[in-house]
Amino acid sequence: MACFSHSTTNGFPVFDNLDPRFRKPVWDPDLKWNTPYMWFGTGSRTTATESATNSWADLWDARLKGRLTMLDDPEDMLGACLKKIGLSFNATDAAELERAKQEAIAQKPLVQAYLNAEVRDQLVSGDVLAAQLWATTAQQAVDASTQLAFAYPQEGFPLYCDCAVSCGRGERSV
Amino acid sequence: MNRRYFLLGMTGVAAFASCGRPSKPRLNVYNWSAYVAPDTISNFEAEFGATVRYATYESNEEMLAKVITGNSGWDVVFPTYTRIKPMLDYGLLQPLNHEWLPSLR
Repeated sequence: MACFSHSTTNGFPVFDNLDPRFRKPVWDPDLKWNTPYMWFGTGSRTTATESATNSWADLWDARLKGRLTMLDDPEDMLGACLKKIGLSFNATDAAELERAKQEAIAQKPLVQAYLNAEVRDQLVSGDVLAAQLWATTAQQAVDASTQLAFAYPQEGFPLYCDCAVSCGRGERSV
Repeated sequence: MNRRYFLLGMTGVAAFASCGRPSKPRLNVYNWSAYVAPDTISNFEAEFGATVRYATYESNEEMLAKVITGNSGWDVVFPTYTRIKPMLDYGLLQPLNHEWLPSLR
């Protein structure tokens, strides 16, 4: 404690600036294992020169063939499929998931790749015209280019929170 | 000082709270790409007299692949909340000591 004790007296009102829903998050309400770090949703991003997508269904547009990416995160990729056909992002019913699977299969010929945050650079360069992406990463692309627009799809979208956790061991444990 | 910087500092304070070594302590931080400002790490090192080993990943799976051994050397990582329960089940997480995290009270 002595090593860095001065920092504990600064009294940053950090949690006053945090949305109440993240002060006692449902996944760890006592903050025993995590501190909320950054929250966001997923949406879609396109070049401003194309008609901006505001619907998950727009990511099934054949004109995007070969220049569309979806997240490689299974829950998000299938979640977009579920929302496209009006189902819950959190659906667990086997028949509903089968319908989402068929949507994914129908979209696959259009998809250049299933990627994650690294697609940011391809969006900025223009290699990818539309992508399913975290809002946080999308903002980074927006900051780097005037040609990009981001939308939270009208069918609905998930909210997430990245959290700081400690993997330290022994005397390094938090 | 923005919130990101503060939270990084907060976790860092806790990780070093028990340090007793005379050498400059090192915090090993593995985070999503482009999640802190360019000067955040150097500012943290200057403020806390610590060295930070910092690296980035592009997906939760990339991070999990590194830490799942339980002996990865990373002190602080940033999973999306959906990965916290699996990481807990694998015994990868240490409980936070709120005595060292006054801003959480």
